Amino acid sequence: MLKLDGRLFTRSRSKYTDHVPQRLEPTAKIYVRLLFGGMDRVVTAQLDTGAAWSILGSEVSERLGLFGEPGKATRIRTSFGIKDGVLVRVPLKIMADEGESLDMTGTFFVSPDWPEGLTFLGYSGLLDSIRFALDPQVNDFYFGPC
Amino acid sequence: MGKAFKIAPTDESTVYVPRIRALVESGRVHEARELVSEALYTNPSEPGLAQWSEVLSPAATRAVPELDVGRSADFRWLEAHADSYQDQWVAVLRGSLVAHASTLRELEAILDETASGAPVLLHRFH
Repeated sequence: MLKLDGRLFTRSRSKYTDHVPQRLEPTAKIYVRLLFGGMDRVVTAQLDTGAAWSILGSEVSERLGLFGEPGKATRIRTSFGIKDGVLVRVPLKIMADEGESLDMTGTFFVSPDWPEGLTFLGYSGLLDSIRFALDPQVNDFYFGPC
Repeated sequence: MGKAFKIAPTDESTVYVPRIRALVESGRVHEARELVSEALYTNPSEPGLAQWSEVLSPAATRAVPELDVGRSADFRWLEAHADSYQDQWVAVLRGSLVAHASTLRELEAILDETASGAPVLLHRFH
């Protein structure tokens, strides 16, 4: 699908939106689509290469039964302040419109103090494990395994 | 004169988990991963190390032949209706609102009853 120097770079593509207004933070945000293991409906998540960790919205964490799950307790600095929580492995799919979706198990930070609905795909243990590229003129997200 | 207690020698460098955690909490993930690698070689049975090794590992990935339905119309709906559904969860499909609720649990209950199996897209407005 997407080639670099004549060689396959990624084989999947999906549309994303960066025009959904947010009251909390009005600058453009890139939303891609995920299907979490244990859920049967696709949800939006914000792509954030500047975030050290992926973070699950608290309702999604609860829905997936992750509160109380064994994980590594830690404290991280976020845009909403310092939060206590746990790092856990979470199965999910990044959904494609063309090519193949990407089934993965990545690391997420889970905290009951985290705001509802704010789910981020961050760098460590998730985005640093895949190839991806953006075409912002047509809102295409290219992705695939490394 | 009393007999001196013999204190077993300790080597703090063989205790890795607190240092791994401190590195993670200061955002130094790359260094934390390097320390995990060292710990797995030097002191692999240290309590808690296996879990740190797991959460600091790269994500496991596998391409699967599965595609989402087209979402361009759903994205246009989300872009146009944020103000009307602040702090709400919404479910959209083919450019139309299917259901909305103030919690994910409520939204899924509505969908289970009225649109079970429909390939809706869930989003929460902020």
